[in-house]
Amino acid sequence: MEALAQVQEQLLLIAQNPWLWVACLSGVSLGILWGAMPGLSTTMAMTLLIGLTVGMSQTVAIMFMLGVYTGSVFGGAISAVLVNIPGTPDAVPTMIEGYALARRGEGGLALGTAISASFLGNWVGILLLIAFIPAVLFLALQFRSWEMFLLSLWGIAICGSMSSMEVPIKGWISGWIGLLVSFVGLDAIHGVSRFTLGSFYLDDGIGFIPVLIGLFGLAEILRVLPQKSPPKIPSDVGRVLPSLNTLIRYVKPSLRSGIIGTIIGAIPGAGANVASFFAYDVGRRRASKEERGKWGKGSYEAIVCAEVANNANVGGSMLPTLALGIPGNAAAAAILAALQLKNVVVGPLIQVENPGLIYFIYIGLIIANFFMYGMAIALIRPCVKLFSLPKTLLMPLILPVCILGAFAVNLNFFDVYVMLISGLVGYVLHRFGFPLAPLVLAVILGPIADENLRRALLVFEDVGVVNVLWDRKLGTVLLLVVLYTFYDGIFRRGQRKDSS
Amino acid sequence: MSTEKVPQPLGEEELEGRPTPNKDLASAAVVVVVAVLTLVFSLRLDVPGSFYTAPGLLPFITGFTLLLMALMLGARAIRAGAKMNVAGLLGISSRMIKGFWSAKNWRRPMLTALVVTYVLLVAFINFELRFPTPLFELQISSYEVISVIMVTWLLRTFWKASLLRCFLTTLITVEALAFVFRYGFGILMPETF
Repeated sequence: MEALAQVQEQLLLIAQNPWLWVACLSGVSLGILWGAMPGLSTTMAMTLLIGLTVGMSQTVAIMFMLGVYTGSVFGGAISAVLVNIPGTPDAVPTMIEGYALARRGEGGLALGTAISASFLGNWVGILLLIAFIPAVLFLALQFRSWEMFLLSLWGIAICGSMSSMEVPIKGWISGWIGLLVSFVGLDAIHGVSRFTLGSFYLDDGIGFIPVLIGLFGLAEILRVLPQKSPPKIPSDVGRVLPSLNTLIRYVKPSLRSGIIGTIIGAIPGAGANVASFFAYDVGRRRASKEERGKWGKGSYEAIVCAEVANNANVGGSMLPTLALGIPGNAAAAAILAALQLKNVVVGPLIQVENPGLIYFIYIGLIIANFFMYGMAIALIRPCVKLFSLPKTLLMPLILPVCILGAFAVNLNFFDVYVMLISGLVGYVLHRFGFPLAPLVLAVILGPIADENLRRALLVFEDVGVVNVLWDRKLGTVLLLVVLYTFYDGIFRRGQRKDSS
Repeated sequence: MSTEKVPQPLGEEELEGRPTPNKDLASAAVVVVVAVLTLVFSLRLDVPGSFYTAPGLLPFITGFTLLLMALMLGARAIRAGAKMNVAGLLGISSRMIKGFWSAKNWRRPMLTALVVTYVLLVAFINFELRFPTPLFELQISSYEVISVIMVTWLLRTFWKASLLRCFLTTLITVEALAFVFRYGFGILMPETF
């Protein structure tokens, strides 16, 4: 009853203040535009746009940042589908499927499906959280060091399998190279300098944003621009929104992916980046034989699975951020920074010190979700028209954005060099048939895996392996799942290929 | 949901990214070298505390498993018909280098050279021009000047529109971008300071 009263109070507060609506709409618009620009990411949008909230009141600032978060997550899908450059690693499954559809002249419908799935995903995430906040938090808190290590490892493994379906081992090699990149810098436990070759620039490690921009932005420019007949996106937009029947057909995968996105997204640190790949993988396994054949070549159901999970984890990632003060992902960390800027102390006492704030944020997410849907529908046609311009015109114009994007995160030119090298390496890896998504994901998850493995081993030193496997059942299940993922990739998929 | 579409023939994009057994074998050889180097460097790292918290622990495990994966990839490539000899591997490398630099395929090396030059110019040429206006102080950084020149060059080479059109398109895009970043977000333009 107390919760209901708080929800009512927050609803009244929002209804009475038009500035909150204006801030939310502005945030969503800026977020979509930012995310849609190839080479600029959600994290960067969140980080840079915090500066604009300095002069705003607490509630207006929170509403603005929620709008930016929701808008930029979807905006990333626009550049992923139409230019083959994702804004974040979570948008990679959408990119794989959406770009294939866009090249067939179905970019408008691919984006329309992605928007509808995003809208639905946000709803599933928010409703599940409001209804099951304690349960989701309890589940998320079962992930301790050992489980976090296994989750990170599994995320990389599954991403490798999914992005290199015919030869999963190449996806894993790509992921493992990403792990090696992530180890560069001062080690988090002892401060020992690893693989820095004596360069103090490398002591801070290699950031994932310049790597992402290089691998997907610059490598795409190097790949596409010199082609005599670069791939073209047909400018005929055609139908944009999927029919009601189609949406009904995807209710089951949507709900499944929404639950996956919310729960995995709520796991601090590793969750949000793994969620969309996990939902994408589960979706392929559960799809009909005919639909499974389309996976990787342009499947609407695959887009639904990835986008629902991707957006459900927006709500999910907010939970550990608010309740524990541990951000679910980099974008949630930016929200945390914006809250701290407004003297909001997050953590277990948030309900005591700021009663109703959690509900305010979830209502804000719902409003942002509506604005996102409306704005996105309005933007599909102009975006398809814009990105159907010749690649020989678009790609050179993306280059300064890539340089500025890589530089702007830390205002450090070293990141531009990292972007350049990543782009060249990405081009070579593509030539040799290695997928790039596992590499980026591993650069993000590597430090989490490294730190948590060593912490877990330190705890296990006294307990013994058998006791660990028996006592930590969630960890044991995850370990079996990781082993199965490798077994499936090496043996079963090979057998299926041989028999076909 | 999807309407019946005529499947498109494979474009340059798909063909050049298409792996072959020989390419797989060559990449497996490179990955073996990377894995062995990782093993060596991770063993040389200091171990300040317990073995379980050794900074080189996960890098060593990663290097070892990477080595296994590379060997598996190599074995798979040989089973698929790749030639396992040094001359064969060198042949792939030399064919790739020749293909990259051939006179027929001048566009890619030129693009790569232009991109690298662009980044190096932004890194090494630093200046800022300031023009006071009645409303605000107009700033033009070396990044904007270099970007306008280099992107105009790229557009002229690949888009093949008139020089004026390429220049104006670049100028508007770069200045709009710089304006938003500089005045909207207070971000400095790229330079090495």
